Amino acid sequence: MLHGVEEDELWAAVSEPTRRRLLDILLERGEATATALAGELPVTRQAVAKHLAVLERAGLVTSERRGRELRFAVQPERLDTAAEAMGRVAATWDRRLERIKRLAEVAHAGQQGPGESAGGRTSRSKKRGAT
Amino acid sequence: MDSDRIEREIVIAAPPEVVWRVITDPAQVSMWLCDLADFEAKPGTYGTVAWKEHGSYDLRVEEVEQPRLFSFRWVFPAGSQPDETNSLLVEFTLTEEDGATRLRLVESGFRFVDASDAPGSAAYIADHERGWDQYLAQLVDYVADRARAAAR
Repeated sequence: MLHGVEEDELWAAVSEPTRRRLLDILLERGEATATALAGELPVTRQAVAKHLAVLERAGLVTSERRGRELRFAVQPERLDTAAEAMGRVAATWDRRLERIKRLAEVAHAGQQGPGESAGGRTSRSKKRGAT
Repeated sequence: MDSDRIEREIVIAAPPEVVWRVITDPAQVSMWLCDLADFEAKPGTYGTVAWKEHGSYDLRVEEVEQPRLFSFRWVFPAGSQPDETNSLLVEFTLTEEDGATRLRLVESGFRFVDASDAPGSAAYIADHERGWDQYLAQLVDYVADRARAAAR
């Protein structure tokens, strides 16, 4: 399960639009310096450096020194973890929508058939009948 | 990647009025969302949705424009009023398309609320829902059979 401080940090890190944009650029480019990243965004190099620090603390990016340059790259496994909790919620919505579809379509078919009303009539009989 | 919102769309072979009832009538909501739904589709009113396994969530109904728009906020801190910085907003938009309905779902606010706190995140919900889906499939078959029999 994904819980606790570690995940809070992860979400805080990806919840800021500039940081998400940084991640997008880094994913496209593979790696880049803070200066190069600042060139693509309407923020200062200092601001980029701060955002990169937050992302690095959350484990979303790593940095590597190459001569006089510090180059940043995305840590893909960690990004997957952040997307995972959201993915679970999205998958649950898919199942809910499928159920809405089935309920509405059956109710509609019922309304069109003679003598069948499928409105809210099943609400009571459904209660925990499965278990 | 947008980590603030989930967006989904589905086309349903029923008119918006029918879909509207499924998403706003608590008796029907308890057939696709939770075990027990208790709320009124009235803007500004509070209600609850509850799961047998892991308790209940408060919600506040936001917008109600029958049969086009229904929204509510949930997953806000206990004792506080939900707003755009402390809760998830669930919005259903219904559009009529040749007698069918395009149902659009947007759940947003994940920049403020941890996704693992949202109903639907936890693995045990998935387990719970597998059983539920199976039951529902049986119910759907049953009703469809009866509709067919009545039409004969």
